[in-house]
Formats: sequence, C-alpha cells, structure tokens
Amino acid sequence: MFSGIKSYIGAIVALLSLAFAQNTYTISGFVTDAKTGKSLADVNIVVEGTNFGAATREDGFYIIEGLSPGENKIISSMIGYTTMYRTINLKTDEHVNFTLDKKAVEMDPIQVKAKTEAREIQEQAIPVSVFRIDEIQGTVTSLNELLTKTAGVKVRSGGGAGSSTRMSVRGLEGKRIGIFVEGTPLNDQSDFVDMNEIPLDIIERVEVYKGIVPAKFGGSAIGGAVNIVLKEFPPHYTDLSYTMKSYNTYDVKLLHKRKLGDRDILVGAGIFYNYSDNDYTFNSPYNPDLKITRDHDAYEKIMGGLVLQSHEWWFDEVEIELVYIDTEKEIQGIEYNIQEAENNSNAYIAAVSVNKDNFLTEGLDLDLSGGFFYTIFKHQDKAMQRYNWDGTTYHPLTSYGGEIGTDANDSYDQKYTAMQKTNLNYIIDQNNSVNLNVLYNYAYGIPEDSLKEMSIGHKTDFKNRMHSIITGLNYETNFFGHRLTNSATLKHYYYSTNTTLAELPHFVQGKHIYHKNDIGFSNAIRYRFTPDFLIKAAYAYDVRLPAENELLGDGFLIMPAGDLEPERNNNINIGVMYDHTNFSNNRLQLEINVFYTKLDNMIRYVGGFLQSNYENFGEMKSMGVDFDFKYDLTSFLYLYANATYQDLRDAREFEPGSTVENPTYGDRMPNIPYFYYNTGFELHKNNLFGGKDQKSRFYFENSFVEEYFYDFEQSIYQERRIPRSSIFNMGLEHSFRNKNVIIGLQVNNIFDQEQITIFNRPMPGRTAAIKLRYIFK
Amino acid sequence: MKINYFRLVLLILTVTVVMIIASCEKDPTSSDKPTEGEIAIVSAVPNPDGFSGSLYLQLIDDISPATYDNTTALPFTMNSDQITVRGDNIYKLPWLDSDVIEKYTRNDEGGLDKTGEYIMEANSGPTSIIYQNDTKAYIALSGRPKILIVNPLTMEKSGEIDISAYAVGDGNPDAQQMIIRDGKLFVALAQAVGGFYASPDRAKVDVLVINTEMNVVEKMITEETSSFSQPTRPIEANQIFTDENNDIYIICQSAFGAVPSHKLGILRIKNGETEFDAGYSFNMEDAPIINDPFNATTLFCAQYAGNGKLYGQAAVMAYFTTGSFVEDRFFVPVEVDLYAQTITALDLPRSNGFGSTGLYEDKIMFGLATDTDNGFYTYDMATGEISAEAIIKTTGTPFYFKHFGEEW
Repeated sequence: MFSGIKSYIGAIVALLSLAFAQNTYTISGFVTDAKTGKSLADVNIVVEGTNFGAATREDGFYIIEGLSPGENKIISSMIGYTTMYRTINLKTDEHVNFTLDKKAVEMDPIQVKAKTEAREIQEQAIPVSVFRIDEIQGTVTSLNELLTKTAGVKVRSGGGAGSSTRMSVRGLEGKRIGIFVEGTPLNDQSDFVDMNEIPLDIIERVEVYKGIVPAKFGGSAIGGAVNIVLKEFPPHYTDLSYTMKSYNTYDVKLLHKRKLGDRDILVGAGIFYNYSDNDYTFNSPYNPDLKITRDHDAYEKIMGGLVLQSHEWWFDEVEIELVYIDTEKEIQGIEYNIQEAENNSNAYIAAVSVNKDNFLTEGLDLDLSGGFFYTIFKHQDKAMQRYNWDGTTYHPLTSYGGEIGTDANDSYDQKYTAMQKTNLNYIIDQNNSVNLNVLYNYAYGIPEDSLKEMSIGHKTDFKNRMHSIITGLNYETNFFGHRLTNSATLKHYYYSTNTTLAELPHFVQGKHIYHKNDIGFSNAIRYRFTPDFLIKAAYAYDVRLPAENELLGDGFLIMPAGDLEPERNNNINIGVMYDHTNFSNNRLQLEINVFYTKLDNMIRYVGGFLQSNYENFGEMKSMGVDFDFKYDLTSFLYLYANATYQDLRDAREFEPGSTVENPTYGDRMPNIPYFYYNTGFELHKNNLFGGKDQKSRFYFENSFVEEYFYDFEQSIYQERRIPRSSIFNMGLEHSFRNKNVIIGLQVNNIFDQEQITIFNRPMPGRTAAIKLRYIFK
Repeated sequence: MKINYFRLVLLILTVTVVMIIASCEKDPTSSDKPTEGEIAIVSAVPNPDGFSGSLYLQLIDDISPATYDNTTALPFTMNSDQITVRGDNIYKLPWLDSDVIEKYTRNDEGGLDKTGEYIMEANSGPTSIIYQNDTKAYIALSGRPKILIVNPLTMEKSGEIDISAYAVGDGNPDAQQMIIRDGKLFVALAQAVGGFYASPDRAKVDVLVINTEMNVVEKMITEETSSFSQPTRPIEANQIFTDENNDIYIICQSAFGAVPSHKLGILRIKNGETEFDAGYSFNMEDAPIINDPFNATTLFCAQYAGNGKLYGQAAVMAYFTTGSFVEDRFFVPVEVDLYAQTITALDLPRSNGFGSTGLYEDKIMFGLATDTDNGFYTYDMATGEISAEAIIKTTGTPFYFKHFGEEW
C-alpha cells in the first residue's frame, strides 16, 4: 500500500525527489474471448516489472496511464484463460487489444494489480479528488491555481508570488487543513516552504481529501488534507525549464539524475530559483484617492538539494536527502507604506527513508522515515523612519525604529525539528488489511529579538519545547468479491509543550507545561454496483490540537491560553461516482458528494482591552454538495465542470458562559465562499502542424465565486464584502520530440477584472506567462 | 466516431457564452441609510476569526424597554472605528480600516445623513475630535505627531499643529483625548513606547496646553509625583471632562495595569489654571472598592454625571479567572466620588470585557454583557434604583450609548 512512498520530509524534500520522473504514455484497448468474440470483464492487464495495471470494464475496455517510454511488456490474464503477453515499444499512446483463449489453469490472483493508483484512490470510500499533474506537464500554472479549480476547494491569496495563501476545503481552512507531501505533514514548516512553491514538474498527482483525513497521514487535520505525490524519474535524466511571468517574475529549474555505473545507486541534484518584483498597481482599499504600486514586495527563493537512492541494500529502497532553502521577502504595505521591513528564512534539512515489503513476514510492508530540520526565521523591522505614500518620511514606531505594528523587530528565531514516521501495513488476506502509522514530532524553538525587548521594555520570547505523537490504526475489509469495502480508523493524539511565558497582570514570567490527549475515529464504506458505478459513505470524528501560537501567544499582545481544548469535528459524507470509458476511449466521470459537518470547540481569537488571546467558543454546522464532471467528448475535446455549494452556519446558541442568545446563531459564516464553480474545455491534438511526435493543447477556463460577506450579515446596509468574481484564463502548450521540448503560454484573468480573494487584498489583473522546458533522457 | 464539426463549434461557443454571461456583475446595493431617534446606541458583533467584526449604530427614541436587532443599523468596523458624538453629528474615527473620517448628521426626521468626510494620511489613527465652535474643530492623531484643525461644516483642513517636540522616547507623543476650556486646548499624551504602554521607567502624566486662538502649543505640563501615566484611553472620549466647577478631571490608565509601579488614578486641573492641581491626586488602584473585596486595575466606559459623580466600569483582574475576555465577568459597574475620592461597586451584575456607560437624564445607562442578558441597565442617580435586567436589550454586546443633548 505504501510501497510508492519514497521520500519523507515535507515539500522541501519534494524538490529532491525530483530525481525520479519522466514523460508518460497511455495504453488502452479491449479484451475479448477468442472463441465467442464477447467482451471480457475483470481481465487483469499489468505491465511487467511495474506497479501499473488495470482491470477491464464490463465492455472489455482497459486503460493504463503513466507508462514510461520504451519497451513495456503487457500481460493480460484472467482466471480460466491463457495468459497473453505483448511487448510494446512506447513512443506515443498506444491502442492494444487482446483476445484470450479459455483454459483450465488459474492464474495466481496475487500477481495482478488492478487500475491506476490515481483511480484507485479516487474510488476510495472517503471523499477525495485526485488530479494528475503529469498530464499537464507543460503548463505554466501553479499548484494553487490547480487546487482552487477543484470541487470543494478554494485557495485565496493576498497578492503575487510568495504572498500568503489560505486554502479551504469545504469551508474549513488554515490549520484545520493538513498539507502533506508523500504523507508527511508540511504545516509545521510553512514559514519556509509553501505548498504552492513545489514545482508542478516534479509532482505526479495531488490528492485532495475532503472532510475526512486518512489515518496514514499523521497530522491532526480535521477539515481535509492535500497530499502531494511526487514523480519517479528515469535513471538518466536532465530537466531544464525557464518560466517568465508578468511583473518581472521568473522561475528557473534544473534537475539532473544519473545512475552510478552498473550499481543500483542513483544520485540526483536539483536547484530552483524563483524571483518576482510583484510590482502591480491597485486601488487602495483604505483611501479612495490613492493608487498603490507594490514597490516593496520583491520575493526571492533559492532551493537546492541532493538525493541518493539505492535498491542494493537489505531494504527495498533507501533514500538519503539533503536540502537547503533560502527565502527573502519584502513586506508590502497596504494600510500604510512600508519600505524597509522584510523577512528572511533559511532551512537546512536532512532526511532518510527506507522501505521494505514483506518485512518479517509475507504481506507486511514497512516504511520508516526520519527527518531533521534546522530553520532560522528573521523578521527585520528597524527602519528609523516611516514613509508616506508620497515618499516623504515621518517618525518610526519607537526610538529603536520600526514600521509595522507597535514595536521594532530584529528577530532571529532558530528552531530544531525532528520527525520520525513509522508505517506498517499488513495484508492479512485478500479481503483484510491493517495499517499502523505513528508520527513523532519534536521541536525546540529558540526565539530571540533583543530589539523588540528594548523597544517594549521587557522580554517576550522564550525557549520552548514541543512533543507530539499521533498514532493511527486502520483496518480495511472487503466483502462480496470486493464490491463492498469498509475502512475503520482510530487515531490517538498526544501533544505537550514546555515554555516560559510573560503573563498578565504585570507580565510576570512563569513556567508553563501543557499536555493534551485526545482520540478520533472514522469509518468509511464503499459499495460498487458495477465496475463503473459506486456509492460511498463515511463518518469521521477528528481532532485538531491547538497550534503552538494559539497555546503560547506571542508573549506580548497575545496572551497564552494553556487551557485551550482541541477543536473537534464530526463529518458525514455520502457520494456517488460514475466513471466510464467507451469504445472510442472517451471517458466520462461524474461524482456527486453531499456532506454534513459539525465543528465544536472552534478556536477563536478574542481581542481584549489590553491583550488578546485564543478561546474555544465557536460552533459551526455545514451542509453542502459538490459536483464534478469530466468528459472526453471526442478524441481531441475535453470538457469539465465542477460546482460547490457549502452552507456554513453559526451553530453556537448562546454567548459564552451565559444564557444570552448568540446574535449570529444560524447566520451564514462570513468570509467563506458559499458557492463557486469552475468550467472549461481543452482541445488537444497530435501533430496539428504536421511533423511527428508533437502535441498541442489549448485550454480555456472560467472560475466563478459568488459574492460573500466579510462580516456576519446583520444589517441591510452591510457593505463589506468580497465581490463576485468570474475569472477567465486561457493557455496554449506545444511539445516536440515526445514532450521532451515544451513551450507553454498562459494568460490569466483575460478580461482584466478586479479580483479580490482576501478582503482588502487586491490581486493582480491580467497576467501572462511563458514557459520553456527541455528534457534530456 | 464521426464528428459533426458544426455542432462541436456550436457547443464550444455556447459554453463560452454561458460562462461569460454567468460572470456578469451584480448591481451594487442601494446606500440609502435612514434611521431615527434621540439616542444613539451601538452594539458589537465579532466575526468568527475574532480579529474582525462590526459595530452597529442606530438611533432609538427613548429608553422604554425594548429589544433592538441590527437590521437597519449602520455597520462600522469593530476594533478600528471609534464613534464620537458632537452635537447632532456622529463621527467615525477609523484606525486601520480606513483613512477616511466620516461624518453623519442627525436630520429633522431623526435619521442620519452622511454629511462629510475627510481623508487623512495613512496611519493617522485619530483618537478624538473636539469642537471649538461650529466652524473649527481639532482632531488628535495617535499615529502622527500632530493635531489637525478642520472645519466640521465642510470637513476641510485649515491647519495642523506639530507636537513632535513633546515626544518622549520616540518622535510621537501619542495624542489621546482632548478638551477645550477657556480658549485652551488640553491634549492628553500617552507617550507610549512600543506597544500600547508607557515606558515602565516613566510614571508621569503629560498634557499639552494649546492656545486655540494662535493654534500654538503653549507648554506641556507634567505630573510626576502620583505614579500615574497614560492619561485617558485612546478610544473613549469621556476620559477627560469638566465638572460644574469647570475643573478638568483626567483619568490616567497608567499602562492599563501592565506595569506594577504605574497606578490607575485621576488628576485635576483647576478652573483657570494650566497646571496640575498639586492638591488633587486620586489613586484608584490602591483605593478599596466599597462593596467589592478587590481593587481596580483600569477604569473604562467613564461617564461624568454631575455632583462630582463619575460612573464607569472597573476592570478587576481578580475576576479574570479563566483568562477569557468573553466569558469572565470582570468589569464591575462603579460610582466614583471625585471629591471624596471613593469608589463604590453598584449592585449591578458584572460584565465581560465589552461594556459601556452612558447618561440619560437622571439615569446612568450601563451597557453590560452579563450571564443572563446583553444590553443597557439603568441606575437612577436620584433614587439609587437599579433595573433588574437590561431595559434596552441589544443584539450583540452593548458598545456605546449617547443621548443627544446631554451636557456630559
């Protein structure tokens, strides 16, 4: 189950796992009985020596995606029939039919693997959307742009490249959503790498789990999760790309991988460089007479790393990775001008992962991984003058300088983080399997900001230690020849912190040790009526542990809240899925999910008269439906549409600690989109302009979000709102030499419409981008 | 499969047209904002994030028992906008939400009309507006070292007074609340250094004295014997006032309790004087609260009501037991006798940290968020009668009360 996992540490390591991917092709065709000519269903089609395979549908059709170019040996087998072999030299997508002869000898069913991994995940009992990135490898788009076009998902951004983003799944966002790379949580490293910064070129697929988070992911997410699965690259591979976008934004990427002599040891190296001025102009939300050009929003990131992978030793695979990341980001003012403050961060990462199938006993697979992070975060805000929009200056915040907030800063926050993950998967028999996942996390933070201490007159930042252990146990069982699948999960969460804090009144320093324990569980069930049609239902009770900043505050304006309880979420999902591919290889996919969520103990920020803090007093109910449609209308035209309606309501009946009715009880939760859809079409054709081994793709898409309020809607004069947006994008890709040379063009927001996804944070208007990519193999 | 290209193109065009039509903008909402009444009340409703939310301003006729929702109230920004009444005008003084001061005027029908606006420099942080006459008003800024002079009729600036020379520790003395008496503008200065607090090493109270005829600073007076600091609260106009003797009283928040050596207290500038009254210093923090076993840390929601009686809500940190500003009822309604220098807890329920106080004829209106209701309780100053429950119930916490025409 987890044999595909090859890498441990977060998105950062993703950069290194670059090492292992390539262009891919598709084989499809039909299988019939040689004597009767009738279509054969449930025939196993596998590619020898790989995990790729599929089972034929009722009409005998099969399709296998993601195959490497070159020779592939295809095996067609079915109990009671003679096994057939065909060797295909893949240079492009191929159509291969089989006719099988009946025979008395049965195949060993263990040898076969049915369907692509992506489709297997899609057909899991829990609600999940999967999209394969390798199908759009020339695209200029970003991961966030792809995610926000997924049913049930919205990604909101405060600006251009490097800006903060907020992803929501069915209306839950922030820390409630888990971000994973190869199953390893990324949330703790969000200061150093953003999911959006992972180049699409190294991603194989993205899995978006909605509402229910599988046990194999170790985090304490409750609203959903995004798991990024990385590509496997061939043994000898070099990949160079250059992307140029509006506002002096460019990305450069260089990957190289090679095999060491005749040994089964692979080494890879990669370097990524991103830069943007982000200098677009927008109307100030605060001053009707002011236009602001973002002249202090430059962003620069360098990521590099090395990876060594071997299959020679006792483990099936051993991988060692080293990564370095440097990020520099100026801070753009919107409420007021900022000209000097900036953030800088460095991350040093080392990771080892090993895996072995049939560990100790047949059917038991082991994945072990460990990572060590040393990170430094620096926030510098020590300007000795502040700036008006016209460039003139005035006094700083304090006598020690400062432009932002209430004090000067020159922080140097060091953090040591260690993570260890153990995953054991045991296939008991054809119908039963059990999975145990244990994630241990240790963090030791050493914050320092002597300038801040001087400017406010007392110490606010103290060393802190945090431990967490999250254990998940999953049992999956199948009935009626795998028509019915049930997956039950139990999770245990443990979390402790140890720190010193300055508290009210009088900022007295005291030692604080917090321990938290909690339990979550879920059950998901799926019934397959036919190979194309299934229903699924799931229930989950999940827990989100309070985040470090929520428990500890900031030592100054946000006071600690050691008695914070975890957030608890009940989630129910019922879905119907239809996925059919006809004789012309045209695929129709339809999926509808309805869901219900009840979130208790919501952690909310409360502004006090002196300090603020986080408190548990929110409750929220949500009901909704999302719909997903994808259709290959012809061999060259693909259509898609998805829509989401999510009705999130305040469910707290009374004001905290009182019998006073909550004035917003039953009201729609503000600042969360409640209706949005995405539509688009794509035209794609081989050798459109003659020649050979060329592919062209043109796409046009629309993303619509209905207007929604920023505040609870209490008054008929309520004005603060995030306006309706309907953004159109288009793009063109052309590849040569079997996708080894790719040119991509994209125009976003074609009609240059005003776009705001976070209140008072206008986005750029129309932008354009061009990408050139060259692959040597 | 045979392709009908005409139908195909038609389909693509249809999809495209549908997508474009669906994207058309909605008409903006009408902005007519009629309201009515003799009393301005404001309630606060926070958003789930806690950082944001709205204040809802509406006019009501009287204090007859009633429950008001916010359906026809004007929304303002919570944690940013300060609402101040001057005559028949209501000013929205924004902090970070906007650079625009908005002025609303009560009309003959008892409604509100938006009658002006003034665009400030970014980061100005206006804390108070005070009239000298119908055509001249001063606006204190906490974010800039200056006092603006504007014509409140036209909302046009006619000048400004640079006060940067009076800053201690940085370039801004942090102007707070103001009052005009006998041609002198008295400006309380917070002298905050980083954050919202005065320097722990400086337990002093600074007030600027400005000549309103010349619009020049005459002097800065400093009181340094009482261990007080930070005169007035930046979002509360009634923290500086005059009594019937024309004496000025100034509530000193003194680092809001964060610095042990700074004490909550009240100072006085006597009628005709431009120096602190050396004979008057009321240390409220160390004074016992009559009818309550604990002491006050701050005094918010102040309302002077004549006869030397000041009403307000004292933050008593001993009741801040769970660390929740929402759940802990730690605001104690009190009566302060300025002359006798006593502080007495009234027999009213305690509120959480979001109360208010106003004056309606001979009654004090205590806006309280209690265990059982949200709204304005009454305290009859003549009889001492206290309402058993909130007379005016609000939707959200009772944030502000102003009866037009009251002297204080």
